[in-house]
Amino acid sequence: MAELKDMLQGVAEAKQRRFADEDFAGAHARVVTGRVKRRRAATTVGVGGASVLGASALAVGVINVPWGALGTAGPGSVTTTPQASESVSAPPSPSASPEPSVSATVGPLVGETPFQCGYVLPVAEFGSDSLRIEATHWTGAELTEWIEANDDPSDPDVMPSEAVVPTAISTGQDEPLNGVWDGSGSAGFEDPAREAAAGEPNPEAGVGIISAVTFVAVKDGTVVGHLRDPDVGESPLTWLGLNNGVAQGMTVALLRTDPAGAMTSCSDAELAEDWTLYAVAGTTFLYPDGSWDPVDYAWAKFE
Amino acid sequence: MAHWEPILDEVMKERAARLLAYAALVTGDDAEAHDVLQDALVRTFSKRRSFAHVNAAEAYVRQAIPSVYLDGLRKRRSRERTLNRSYEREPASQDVDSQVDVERALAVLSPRERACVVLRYYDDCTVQQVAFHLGIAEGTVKRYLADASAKLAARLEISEGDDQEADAVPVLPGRKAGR
Repeated sequence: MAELKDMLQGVAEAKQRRFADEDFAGAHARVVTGRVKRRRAATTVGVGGASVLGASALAVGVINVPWGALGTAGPGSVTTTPQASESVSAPPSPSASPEPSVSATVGPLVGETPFQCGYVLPVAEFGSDSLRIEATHWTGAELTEWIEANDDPSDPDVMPSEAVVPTAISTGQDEPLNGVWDGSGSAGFEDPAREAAAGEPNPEAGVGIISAVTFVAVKDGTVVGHLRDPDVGESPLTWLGLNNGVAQGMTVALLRTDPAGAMTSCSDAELAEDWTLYAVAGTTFLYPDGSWDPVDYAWAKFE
Repeated sequence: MAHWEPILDEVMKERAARLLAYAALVTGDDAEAHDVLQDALVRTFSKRRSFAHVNAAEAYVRQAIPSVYLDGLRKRRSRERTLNRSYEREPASQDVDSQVDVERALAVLSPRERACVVLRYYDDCTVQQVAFHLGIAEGTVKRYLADASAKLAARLEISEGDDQEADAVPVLPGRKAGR
């Protein structure tokens, strides 16, 4: 079939020459960019209904999605969850023990959730049936091979039935990978409480899932550092979200040769020594009326 | 401006011709190629994914094109326009240059046959990868390829029996061979 390949290449090259004179960006950039913005917002706040819900759930893979409950909580449903302007307390799962109280306060969000600076971790590790970090590990150059073995940039219609967040820190890459790879949806890094607060009621939207995973520096049980992208000043670009398309949740890796270098001190001073790296995850449901469920949080320490 | 916007802008300004050509190869329709490329761009950049370089973004967009195209077909299956356009339409004339011959030969393929052919013989994907990429069974891919090969062989005077599956080299980014 080498002949056919040559023929196909010939067709493609001819078409490329033909398209070369077109101003695709001029004709479509505004529309495409607008659609991307709306979809990125939708992925966060749940606009778009079931498809967005599924994509988010699949991508993040950190939650046991109560599909049955969601089936009854469709667009327009009224919940008893707090409104965006309220300060809420997220009760941990009954199965979690001990049970720290994690407050998802809207506003400055200083020290109120494990995503935020100054938060005091009530326990060293925390998770629940609905959200847990199953494993954390440091890895090295083998991570590249592992990524190649597990990546999935397509959109498989596979829903995770379990929620796990194995989390890896790369320490031995020749070159730091820099980017997000989430083939099946989205995984945020901002506090879900903050994302939920930014959402606006949309009666036409379905129920949305807001989920995020990040890494923080902890010293004496307090969050003292977090990831900040120096380019944009707020968001890390050092994520690699992986989903292998089966019910194993998503693997998240902080891909930096120097994890400490990715961490920014919460204060003006340099990051104190002897801090410990933690993986932190959070998830909630956002409803069409703008309300959201109490945020489930989980965190785990890197030994 | 969000961090993804400059890359998206760069892809649309600098890589559109190549991506449109690929989309046109997959769809067999230049106008539809524009729609598919737009959708592939939206799908690719809507995810919370950051690209360090425009090359990586282009690779993702390109990779999204076949599935975007077939997904679109599924969604509008009730509309006959595309399927009617693509199924078993005989070329109007064989007396044209070879480029058009190939295009017309491709035009007789069904959308899925066409996507399989492009992925298999243009992108050098293995059958397994084609199946994974398009979300269909390997056996189905083989059937599409066999049917497509027979149709193309008859129209392009090429052999249809030298497809050595095991030797195919994957070119899709980020894929592990043999998945």
